[in-house]
Amino acid sequence: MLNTDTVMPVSVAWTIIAGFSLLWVWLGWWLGRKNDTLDDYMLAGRKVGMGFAVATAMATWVTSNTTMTAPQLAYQLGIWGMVGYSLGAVGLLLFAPLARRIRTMMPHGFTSGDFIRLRYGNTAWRIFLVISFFYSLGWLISLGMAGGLLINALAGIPYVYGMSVIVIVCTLYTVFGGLKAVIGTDFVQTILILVGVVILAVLVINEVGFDAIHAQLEAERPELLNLLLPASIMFLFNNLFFGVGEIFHSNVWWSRAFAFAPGVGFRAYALAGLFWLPIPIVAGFVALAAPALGINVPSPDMVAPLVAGKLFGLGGAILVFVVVFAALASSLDSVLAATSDLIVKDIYKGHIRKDATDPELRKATVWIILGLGAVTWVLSVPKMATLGSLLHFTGAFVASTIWPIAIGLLNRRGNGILASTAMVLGTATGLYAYFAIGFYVAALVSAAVSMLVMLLALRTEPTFDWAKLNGSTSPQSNGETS
Amino acid sequence: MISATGLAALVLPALVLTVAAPFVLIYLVWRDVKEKSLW
Repeated sequence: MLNTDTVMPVSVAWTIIAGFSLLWVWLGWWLGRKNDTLDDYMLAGRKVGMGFAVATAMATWVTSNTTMTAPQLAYQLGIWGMVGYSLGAVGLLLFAPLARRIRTMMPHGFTSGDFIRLRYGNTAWRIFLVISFFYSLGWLISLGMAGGLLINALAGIPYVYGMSVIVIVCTLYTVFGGLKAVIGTDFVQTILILVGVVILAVLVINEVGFDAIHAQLEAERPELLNLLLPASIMFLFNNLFFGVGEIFHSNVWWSRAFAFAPGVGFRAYALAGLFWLPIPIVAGFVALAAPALGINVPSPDMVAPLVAGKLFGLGGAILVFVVVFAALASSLDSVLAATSDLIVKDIYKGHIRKDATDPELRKATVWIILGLGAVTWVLSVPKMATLGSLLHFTGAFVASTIWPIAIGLLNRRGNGILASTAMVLGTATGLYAYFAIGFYVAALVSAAVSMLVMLLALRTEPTFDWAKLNGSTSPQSNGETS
Repeated sequence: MISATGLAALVLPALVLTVAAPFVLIYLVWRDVKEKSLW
């Protein structure tokens, strides 16, 4: 499909794509050239310092969903849409103390699956793995789709070409450099994203202004300025729980907690949360200028590139292109790396080859990253849903894990039966709410039901022995628990 | 219904924090390099 409103010549788009692709792949190779052990490859040697730690937490959470879906939600749900999206930062802030605890309690841990297996046993572990893979695939597909949509919206390059480039480039440099490549490129990408978003917002304020944006919204779309829009308020709370669920359960964040040097995790996640908080507001604000500019928005998830293109022509289009390309890469690489860790440690080592050595696991990781990249590409081709609906569908799944993880990490009460029940019932009711009411309540309902089940855990005896978490990589506890 | 001033009061502080972020990140990495604790 070619977009007739494109503002960037195809040759310029391909030049930018080629330049950044070469840069990311070279950086990935260069940063990962000294990787020696499995710890180096999967967890960057477990010694990541404060600067890279904050940058990688921020960059990973600034996804295409922030730079494209935040404007989409501002355009659909108004002020609460962008404020609600910014509450995704609460997940990072709440994870800060958990990251410190994870690093202390599991100094040799690799994945979030390690924790669930050791804390709750095999049944809860397998349920958790299903939820986690479903979420990871949803995230990967939404990132691949966003790449294709962006490049199509800005340059008219067919969707499949753009999507293919972003998936292939990220897969390549993640394979070359492992987590060091992911974290190192995240730093560069964070700076690009922040600078780009700031320039765009400042230009919108200068060129259109708050008064003109407000006046046009009041005339054409007054509901976007309404602070009591019920769907938007529900979305705000839903997004809060969705974000917390995404971060608490996903191996993307756990692998960083394991990878950060001792003492870094708490401060890094707290600072990343603080700096992430304003980004959806700044990015979402750009979309509110669309009515004032008289832009016809064919699909809400394209509103940000269209505003930038309309206002600033080629320069604006290049700016958005660079920002979203960086945002996409910074998240896609992280999800690829963390999901492959989960497959290697929890599926391959945990279920298939329990006696696999570290060099064998290192080799398997490469093939699994390549395989995940291929699966992402295949599932992104049909463009199954809009970015927002795909993202929020997974909310029903991930929000069900919040309480089993939080209670499991902080309290010796609760067992595998309760954790499994909380995840299954939470997911089922969240999905029902998604279809019966709307996308904006799926995570809310899932988290609430899961919480009710886990409250029962607080009435049980405190029997769990914390020392069990220490043995996450010992030969006796690899794979299934007895 | 939020006013134009309210909209500005929401967006401008967010913009200031977003401006500060890259400077803080670059400083933190510079400090890590200096202390040989980048990774």
